[in-house]
Amino acid sequence: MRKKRKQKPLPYLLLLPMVILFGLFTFYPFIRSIYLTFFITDPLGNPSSFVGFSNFERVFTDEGFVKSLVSTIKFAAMVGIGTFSVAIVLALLCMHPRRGSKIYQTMYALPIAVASVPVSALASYILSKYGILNQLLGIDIGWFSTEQTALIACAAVTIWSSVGTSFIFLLVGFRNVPEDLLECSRLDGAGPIRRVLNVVLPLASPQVFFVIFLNIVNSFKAFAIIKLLTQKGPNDSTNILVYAIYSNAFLRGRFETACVYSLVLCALIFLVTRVQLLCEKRMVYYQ
Amino acid sequence: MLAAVMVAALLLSGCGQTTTSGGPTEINMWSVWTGTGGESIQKMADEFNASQDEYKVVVTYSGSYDETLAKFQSSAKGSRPDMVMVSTESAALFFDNPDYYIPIDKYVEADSYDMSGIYTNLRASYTDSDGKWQCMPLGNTVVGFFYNNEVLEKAGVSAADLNSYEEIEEACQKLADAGVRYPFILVSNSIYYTFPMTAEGIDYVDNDNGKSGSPTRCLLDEEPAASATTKYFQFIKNLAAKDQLAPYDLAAADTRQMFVNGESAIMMATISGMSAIGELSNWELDFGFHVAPTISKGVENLGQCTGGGVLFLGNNGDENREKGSWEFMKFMMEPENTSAFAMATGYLPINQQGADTAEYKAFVEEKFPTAKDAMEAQMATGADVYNAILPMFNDFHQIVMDYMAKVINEPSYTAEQATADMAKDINECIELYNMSK
Amino acid sequence: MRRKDWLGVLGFIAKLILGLLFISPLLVGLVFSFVPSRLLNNLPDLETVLGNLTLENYKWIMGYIPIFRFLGNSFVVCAVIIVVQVILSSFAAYAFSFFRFRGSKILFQIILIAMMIPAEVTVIANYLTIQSMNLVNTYAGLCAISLLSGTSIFMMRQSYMQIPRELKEASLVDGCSDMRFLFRIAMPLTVPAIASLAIFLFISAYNMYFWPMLVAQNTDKQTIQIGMAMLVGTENVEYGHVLAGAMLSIVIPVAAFIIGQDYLIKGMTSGAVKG
Repeated sequence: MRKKRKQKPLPYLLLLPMVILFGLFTFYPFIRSIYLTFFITDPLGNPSSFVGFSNFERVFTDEGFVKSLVSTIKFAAMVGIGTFSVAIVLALLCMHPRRGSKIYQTMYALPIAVASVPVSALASYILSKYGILNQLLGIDIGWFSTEQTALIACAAVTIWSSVGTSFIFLLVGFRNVPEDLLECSRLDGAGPIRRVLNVVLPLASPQVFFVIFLNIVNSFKAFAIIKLLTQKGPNDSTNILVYAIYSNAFLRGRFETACVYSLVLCALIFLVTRVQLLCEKRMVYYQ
Repeated sequence: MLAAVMVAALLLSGCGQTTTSGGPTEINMWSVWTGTGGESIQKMADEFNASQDEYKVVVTYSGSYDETLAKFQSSAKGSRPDMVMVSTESAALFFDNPDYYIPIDKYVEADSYDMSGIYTNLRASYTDSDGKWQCMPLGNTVVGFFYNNEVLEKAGVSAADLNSYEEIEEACQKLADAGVRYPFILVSNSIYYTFPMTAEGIDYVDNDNGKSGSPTRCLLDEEPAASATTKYFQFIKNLAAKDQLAPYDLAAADTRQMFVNGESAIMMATISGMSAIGELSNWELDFGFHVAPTISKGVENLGQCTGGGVLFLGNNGDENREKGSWEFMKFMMEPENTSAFAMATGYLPINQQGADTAEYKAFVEEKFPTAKDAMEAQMATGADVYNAILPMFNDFHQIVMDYMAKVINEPSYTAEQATADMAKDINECIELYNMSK
Repeated sequence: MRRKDWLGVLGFIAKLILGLLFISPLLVGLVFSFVPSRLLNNLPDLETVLGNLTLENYKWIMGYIPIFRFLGNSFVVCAVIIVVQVILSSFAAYAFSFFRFRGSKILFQIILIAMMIPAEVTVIANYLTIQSMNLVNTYAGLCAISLLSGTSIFMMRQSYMQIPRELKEASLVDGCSDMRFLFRIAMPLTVPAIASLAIFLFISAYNMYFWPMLVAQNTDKQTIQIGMAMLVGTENVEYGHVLAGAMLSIVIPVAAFIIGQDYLIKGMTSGAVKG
């Protein structure tokens, strides 16, 4: 005889604050911004005249649009893959707690404690054309003012300042792998690389995928460094979608155009994370 | 427990209001100034507060001009600041939204205050067509370029000849021949286009360059604006093609370094950058400042319009606070204060009285003799020389900078094409603005 | 055995050097913050640096911005955000991991989607909402939009999913209600995750700039990052001030981080959750 389960109200109550907060501060503005893409807006972001799809037309036919899309993907790839790679290498290096490992562990993660204003101040000082790095390397490249290097330089600074978070999450995941399993595999003759690939990574896969997801989302939204250091960048090379959103909304007073860009960005993020989630379904298992 | 936290938060929110009962009326000023300029403003506020009991001015840093504008525009009447700093160009946006502010003329009239000491070009930009003052000028910058005397002399160029972009182009060739790596530094800013246009007296939008009404279209597809604009773009292209133009997107600090170590000889800038260059070179560099050139050779330079910032009286419907703000404005316009602010920021004083103070005269002699020429150019400017009044300035500014960058980055993109495309884009941005009202 | 020791020492040194290289920009900033601004414009050599160490940059900052007020405001904001986020994300994590209910999949999707929406889009609408609730220039207004985030829910959920189901079933048999389980058993078990969440939240709340810039109208409520921005001169950047300010502003999160991360990593890996 099957007992009919009464639907408990508790989970809904527990999630109610979340629904209210997200609804009010994330979804309401987002829906509103979709609504606004069909209007011309006044400086306050209120709709003024209905224009149908012409905003979309204007944005998509702007030659800077494709450039912005490409820079966004390039930047997100650099930051996402870069952060993840550096973090995973560092986390593997620190996997076994040793005497004194706390010291360099802390150093690897430290940059996340520094806010973007000080980070950009440091970066602009150190990477200036006449600054320390160039003096050490004996060159005088304007890292942020040369078209070929601006995006990469911004990506490097962004990676540096955000590695710590991924590093910590991965480290925790790796440290949670039971020692005895690693011992067993070593006794079976597996070298360090084998151990990592066949034991550590699979067992830490929930962490690993969480970090990948986080990196993807954040690397598409990473913006503070670009805003403070290069803005649009030499020949628009750092005019990523997020910056286009900001410059249209706050620098040009064209809020409806910013909304179009943000729709594109959200669609892009959504697409990429869909793919990632599909992979996750096949590759992650919880204990 | 959640409820407790929410209640606590709401209670904390109550702590935000400051109620003054029987004390001096508090007056809020939103300021964009940091560094020495910020210190100067704070000093003035402190002195003003100490000198009387009725009003207390509280200065708050509200971010950059853009951030301040964004905040102000989303503030409802009643919660706006009593005084807000606005950039000269964005003043047009205020003029187009009279609800934002109270024209200071209301109080100038009431007090019969004498505003005549203020330089004419400021009057041109900040009074309406009836001559009524809308806002108080705060910064008074001059746009032009710095030149390295030593390097110019060695190349046989005379600074006095650099009156137009055409002549500058010729000079750059001489400089390059004398071995200067990047004779000319151009910084990305629309002022290096608009100021020369205005100096030649060429309107670039309709409705009297925006004075008699909000612009409805730009004039870049007609003469004389079209060929002047094309000449301007061509000037930039020529220098870029001959590799005489410094790398375009350098940080300000780097361009100054380049200027100081002689790699460059002519740097477009505003006069307020003077102290930075002085500091960087320990005041050992022999350099001068020349006001904004015209575009074409031989055209009379009608004068310098102003740039910098202004102070608006925010409209909150509270006359008492408006009066207090006006009192502080009068205090700021006292000669010793306008000269102190000028010395702290590198801008010029807004009125003749400030320029005539002993301190300022000594400052000019010691630090910067060429400021005298700039001031004289300011004073000589007629009351009808002003930059276009564009409520959609921010968008316009980005568009001009985009095209300046484009002609540099794409050698095959012609100056004529740039003018035509820019005209289209400016018309579009004007149209969008008008649709948004 | 000895060879292994040597390798160990070498490894340690290598990782240490890597660490030092990694934080070298901060070290540079630290050293140069003790050098007067005027010497920083042209890159000073070692002699100049060592010969001119001074506290003048720090003194100037203390005089110019109300740094303690700003720090205090930042702390209040951080504390409120941490407490509320920990509670709300624990609720959500608990709901998602221990209950099966209709709509749970959709609600989970909502979190994912919410994480994708960039802040620039929502900020003006949120400012107007806060204004209509009269919360501009209040602590509540400063905290309001940061009371919950997808990352927090994720973090807590990871932790909750590692709590054995048997524990809950056992407690049900003992007559323990759902909420009691949450507060008495689950939360204590997830303290390591809470600790790490708290540290991350502290750092991100402390580092917020744009929202406090909009909401805080005067020094009464402005936070430390706004103070930092005030140090960057409008015309002429005084690097000495900027670097000193940067150092001052990062002392606390760095210290919190150093103290906290050791505890939290140890905590998360000691098997406390698995026990």
